[in-house]
Amino acid sequence: MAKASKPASKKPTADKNTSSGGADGKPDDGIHPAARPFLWLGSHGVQRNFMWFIGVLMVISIAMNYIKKPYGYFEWEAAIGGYAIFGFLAFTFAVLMGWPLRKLTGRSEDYYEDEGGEDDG
Amino acid sequence: MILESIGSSSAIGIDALWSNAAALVVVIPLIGGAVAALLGRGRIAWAWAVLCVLASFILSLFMLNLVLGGETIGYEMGNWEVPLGIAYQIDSLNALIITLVSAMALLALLFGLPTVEHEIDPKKQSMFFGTFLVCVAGLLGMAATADAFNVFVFLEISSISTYVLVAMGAKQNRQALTASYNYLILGTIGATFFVIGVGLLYMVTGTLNMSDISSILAGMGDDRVVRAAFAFIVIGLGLKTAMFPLHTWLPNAYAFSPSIVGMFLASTATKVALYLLIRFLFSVFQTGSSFETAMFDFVLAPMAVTAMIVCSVQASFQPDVRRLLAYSSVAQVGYMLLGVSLGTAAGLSAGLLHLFNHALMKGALFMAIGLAGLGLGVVRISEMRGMGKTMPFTAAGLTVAGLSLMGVPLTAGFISKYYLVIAALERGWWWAVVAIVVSSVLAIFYVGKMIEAMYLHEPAKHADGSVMKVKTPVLSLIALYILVLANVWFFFDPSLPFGLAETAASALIGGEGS
Amino acid sequence: MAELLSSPVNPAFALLIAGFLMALLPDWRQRKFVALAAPLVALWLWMQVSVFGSYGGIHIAAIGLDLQPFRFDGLSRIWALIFIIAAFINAIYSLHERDRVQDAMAAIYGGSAMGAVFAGDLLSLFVFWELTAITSVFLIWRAGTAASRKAGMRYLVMHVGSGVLLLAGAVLLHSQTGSWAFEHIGLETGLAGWLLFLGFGIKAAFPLLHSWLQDAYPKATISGTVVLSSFTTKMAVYALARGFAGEDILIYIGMIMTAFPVFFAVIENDLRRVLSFSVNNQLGFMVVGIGIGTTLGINGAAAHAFADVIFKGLLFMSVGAVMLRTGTAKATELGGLFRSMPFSAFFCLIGAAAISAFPLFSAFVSKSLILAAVADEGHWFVFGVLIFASAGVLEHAGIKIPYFAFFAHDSKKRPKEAPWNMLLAMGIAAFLCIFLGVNYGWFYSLLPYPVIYEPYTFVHIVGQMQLLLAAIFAFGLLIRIGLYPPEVRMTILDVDWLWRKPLKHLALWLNAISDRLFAAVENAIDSKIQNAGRSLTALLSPQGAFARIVPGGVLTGWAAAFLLIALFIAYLAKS
Repeated sequence: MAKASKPASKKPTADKNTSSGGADGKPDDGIHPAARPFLWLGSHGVQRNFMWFIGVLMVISIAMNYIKKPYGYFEWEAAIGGYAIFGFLAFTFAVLMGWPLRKLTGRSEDYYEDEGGEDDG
Repeated sequence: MILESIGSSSAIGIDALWSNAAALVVVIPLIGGAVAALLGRGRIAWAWAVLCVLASFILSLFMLNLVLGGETIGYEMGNWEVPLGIAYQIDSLNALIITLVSAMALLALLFGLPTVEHEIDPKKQSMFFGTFLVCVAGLLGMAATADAFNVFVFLEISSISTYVLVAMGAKQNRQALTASYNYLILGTIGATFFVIGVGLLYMVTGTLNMSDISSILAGMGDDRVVRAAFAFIVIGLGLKTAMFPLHTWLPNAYAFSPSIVGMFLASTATKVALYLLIRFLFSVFQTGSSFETAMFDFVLAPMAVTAMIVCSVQASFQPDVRRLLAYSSVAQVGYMLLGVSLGTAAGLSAGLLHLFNHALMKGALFMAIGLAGLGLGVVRISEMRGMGKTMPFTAAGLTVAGLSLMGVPLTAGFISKYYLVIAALERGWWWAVVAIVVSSVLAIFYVGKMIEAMYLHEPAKHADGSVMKVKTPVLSLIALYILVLANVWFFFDPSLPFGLAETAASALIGGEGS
Repeated sequence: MAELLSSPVNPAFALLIAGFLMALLPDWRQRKFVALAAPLVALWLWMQVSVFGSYGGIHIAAIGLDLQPFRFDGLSRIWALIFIIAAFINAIYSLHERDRVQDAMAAIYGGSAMGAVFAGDLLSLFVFWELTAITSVFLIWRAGTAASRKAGMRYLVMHVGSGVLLLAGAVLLHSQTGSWAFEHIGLETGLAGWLLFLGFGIKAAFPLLHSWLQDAYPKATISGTVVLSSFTTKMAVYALARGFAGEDILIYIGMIMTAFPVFFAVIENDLRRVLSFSVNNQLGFMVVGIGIGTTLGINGAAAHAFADVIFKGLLFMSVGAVMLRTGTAKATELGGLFRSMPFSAFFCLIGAAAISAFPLFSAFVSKSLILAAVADEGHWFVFGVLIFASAGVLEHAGIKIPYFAFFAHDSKKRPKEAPWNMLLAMGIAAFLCIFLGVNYGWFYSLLPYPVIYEPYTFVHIVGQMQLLLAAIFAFGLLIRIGLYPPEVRMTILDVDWLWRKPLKHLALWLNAISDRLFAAVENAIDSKIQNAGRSLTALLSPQGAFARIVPGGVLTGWAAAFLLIALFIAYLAKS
């Protein structure tokens, strides 16, 4: 396990400034050394366009159906890209249902008065 | 009359002691009480009281041993023969009660000295212990005698001494006076109802000896006077048993009396009254007669079930700990009455077992609360916060007894509820099982409130931030832990109370139950 | 080695004894040692049993009981093993904590769950069942917040209630069959069966009985939530598999369980609550498998329970690590944490892949057993719902948890990486997620029945990848066009609303009203029946005259009225 050589803060519940940069002279930005090679994952462009990468993979997986004809217990399983269509529709349905459901059941955070603060009730 | 019996007993020495055990167990605390009141200092009176009660306890163990061997101990006052004289009779039913009462009295005294010194005016302490002994004698007498009018006499002796004892809580809380007053009024009504009932029986049968009454009643046909007597006796004893809705005297009487009194009454007073109720229902009146069955089905059982639920709910809402326990007691009396009202041997023995177990658990709970009151001035649940840290032993004892009250396995409370459920199932009383379940869940709630306060809240702290540790009197703690361990012990080996309860139940009902 | 023990010893004892020991040990180092050693001892004991059977029966003559506390067979074997593994991982995860109560309670809790699994009779089952309830609640309470205390109380009421139902059912069953044995029960046993079914159902979080889970788990301590997610519900699934395999109603109950949390999890902001919904959803799959009841179905339920304990634990652990370091588990407060917590993020992704059933991960080989069992029986609709739920799992557990905690918009929080012990625990769990998915032959050999099923067929892999990729693509698309409901801080209502709002107010209102009613009734009695009461009292009691000055007069009225009722009944009874 990577033991970061950072001055440790005693408080477990840390705020933004809990950790600081290492002794390696890098700016004090709190980035874990092991994460440095992956910082591109957080860039705006990658986050925005990651879906197209997935989209390409999805198309490839659908194309695989032509290599070997799918089969299954039920008809839609045997259709080309059947699982992809099902997955897309199911996911979209689940997410879109969130809007009405939130209207119906959403309340302010302190709705149950007993969940208020962390202090002694 | 009683003195005469001692004078006239022919045997001398140790043998005389044993052969007169049935009477001595009552007489010793009665006379001891008079002596105690004359002893000037509280501690001497206390030591004297311990001695008297210890003697009673040893005698009761002796009798218990005989009864376990299958004997029934009879004793005739002044050697007058029944039905003219007054007889005492000890069988498996009241041997259990007598042992229970004398044991609880002993434990109460062991526990109570520091609380009495704290709560009672020093000048009144010897008087207090004297009255306590008289109360013990009254309860033991109620349990031991086989004479219906004698029951009334002892009932009054125990009641009047109880009023005095409850009123002595006035130094702590003036409400003890009103509590005692209410108890006095209702207690007197109960006793009056009872004596009217006994009078009516005497009118019909011409005897006061219970077994005589029973055999004469058996030979008689249906009689309206007997029915009236029956109703009067059931309601009169029901009042003393704190049968719902006649329980209203109980919560305040338990809550505002001195700790030792609350503890002792909670574990014995209603139990002895219930014993008498059982005695009259099953041994004096004809088991299975139509009016008795009707009383079971339409009065006792519904009231028992209502008590189990309503009083458990009331207990959940009490901020005062002792009132909480008192309401819980009424609910628990409901369990016992339910067992009785099943009218079967299984139900009766389950009820008796619960009677015994409830004395253990409530005794322990009231002791623990008494200690908490002594150490921390606890009256309300909110004041118990952090007791897990400040009074760890007391808190642990209270927790175990509380678990027993809930009926958690590994505690005695589970065993009796288990048998009660089985007995109710046998009769097909589903609603009763549901009530037991609901009431148990409510018990989790109100016991949980105490446990939560004790363990999940920060205790009171000294100015320097260290936890306040409270010293607990060792003798009191020992008494508490005897009861706590008993609560666990009688889960693993319930054979003593259960064997007695079963023998008693089958003797009273026989195999044929209604 | 095998001869060291003359007869097999119940591994549950290792944890139970360790728990009681830890309760007494004031030094945390000793406690942690015991916590780590106990599961290893349990594992050793588990391995010593070579022959299926019931060992160490106890006969309590006093109350005529035959207890079989240690039944080791195909079904209990795998459940016990996963509980041992979970106890070990959880012990590592909580190494940094210094809480004696939690250490002790977690061990007793795990031990009693194992005890319940080994219980061969319903009374032993009941004892362990209740023990799990009263020990696990401390893991909630030790969070120390007012909310956790109240949620813990609600949790306790539900769970003790479940035990009471179990006991009632057991007693009734005993009165029908004369046996306490815990074998197949079935609903055809009537009320007894239904009571047991309901008792099991509460702990298995059946729909409408589920809310304790989403209520209490998110309010427990950080390690407490992980421990809670390992035992209670899986124990209930075991009990259902033992007692109610093949009950058709379970198929539909399970189907609903897989589907409805999907919708709630989408809009939930608290990530621990999202995972609690996910617990429910995964339980649904197991319940369906049990409802199918074929050997394939039961195998699937067992396998999925095994896999779920590990990957769900892993997800809870990663969210717990985030919570430890940032103090919150709310999606709105988090994001971009992979920059400073890369290892936690990595393990979280593995857990997410495992729960989403990516090929090579554990759920892929366990869930497909259940799906195949459903399809074999021709339940096309159920099958469709389960596939829908699989896409839903991906949404809330596979994407939402890692995305909102570690990626998404940068919250600018740069907390420290999780402590080494948490990372180690997560690492072990992550390893197992992959190990089970790859080395599935060993996994399948643990199942109750022999398995003839090959998960890694070309078509199956392609189908599953299509489903997952299309779903992730949909996620990206919905975020892009702004149709994905943004995270908002709010409370989402569930059925517990019923007793936390209307019923609570009703109770308070009833209490207030009954206070007033009693006062009013007493006044009424005072004025109306007082005279009758007084004359009766005066007639019957020498002290009657005193009764007038105090409220005690009312009480005498009661007594008199009651006497009249009693007289009435005594007279009316047929002779």
